[in-house]
Amino acid sequence: MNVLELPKNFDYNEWMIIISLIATYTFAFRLPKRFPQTITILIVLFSFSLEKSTDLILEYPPYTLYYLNDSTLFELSDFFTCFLYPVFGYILLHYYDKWNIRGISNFFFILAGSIFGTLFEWITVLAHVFEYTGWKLEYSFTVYLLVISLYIVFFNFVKKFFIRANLKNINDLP
Amino acid sequence: MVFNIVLAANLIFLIFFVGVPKKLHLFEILFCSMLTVFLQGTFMAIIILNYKTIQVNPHLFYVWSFVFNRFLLYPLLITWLMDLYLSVRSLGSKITLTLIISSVMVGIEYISNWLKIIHLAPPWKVWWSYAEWLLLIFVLYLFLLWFRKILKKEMIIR
Repeated sequence: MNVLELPKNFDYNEWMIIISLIATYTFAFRLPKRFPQTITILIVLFSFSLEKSTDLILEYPPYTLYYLNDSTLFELSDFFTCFLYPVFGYILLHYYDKWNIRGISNFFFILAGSIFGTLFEWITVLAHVFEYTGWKLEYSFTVYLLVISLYIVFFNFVKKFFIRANLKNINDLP
Repeated sequence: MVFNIVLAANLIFLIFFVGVPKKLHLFEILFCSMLTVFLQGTFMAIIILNYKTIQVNPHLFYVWSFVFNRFLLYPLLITWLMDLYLSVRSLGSKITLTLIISSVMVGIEYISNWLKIIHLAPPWKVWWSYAEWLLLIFVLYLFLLWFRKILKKEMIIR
């Protein structure tokens, strides 16, 4: 057995992952730089760790409520799929910051983000990137509401501490 | 009962970690703990799904015990180790600390096996556990050095 299984058939799901990765990363890299490197790295890591946490609980045995791509094994394409999450998180927070979302706008932003996330997941289900074995698309909508809210809380927290630490160190300069 | 023991152990270490004086910046703590979750999550995917040498007990409380250990206790232990690295200067002390903490983590893995939270199925061996944690610590340390450079460049730490 390989450490990472290779895809059984190179079909819709693999193409979906490749096209999504190219499209989202091209889009993200073309966006004007908005955050310092520190904040970008922490956003990326937050996405990765959130994705791994949910996968460990929901995807892996004993529950296996869904699996990715061709089989319940961990494939090379599964590994690449996890790179979709940070770029979505980054683009989401880029616009959250750019549009200066405050107050009730948060509600509409989280709702819109969750609808978009659920629609995108529906497309990936059609392309057989996700195979549900107990999970339902409507559950994902609820999870997106929670996850996007967590992203915003985390981003505001990190941004606040970044500005505070940065100002302190600049003021302390001789 | 098992879940209670695991939860208590996790909370005791969390309280200790929050209280203990640290040299790491908040961002470094976040970086270490989140990167640990990602790296060991990927490793677990390979071990649980492909090799099936670690099997999680399907009982709800055992699953949550496993989740708590993986997402709270281990990341905090490794982050604490990274913090201790900043307190010691000699390579010998760093190696000693690494061996102590990795032995603690291997111990937790085997206690989890004994408590039936996980089942370490053959051909799993003790040195596989050591290899798992030592490799993770080494990779994390390299990434932390890189991240510290960025923090210095952006005037977060000096």
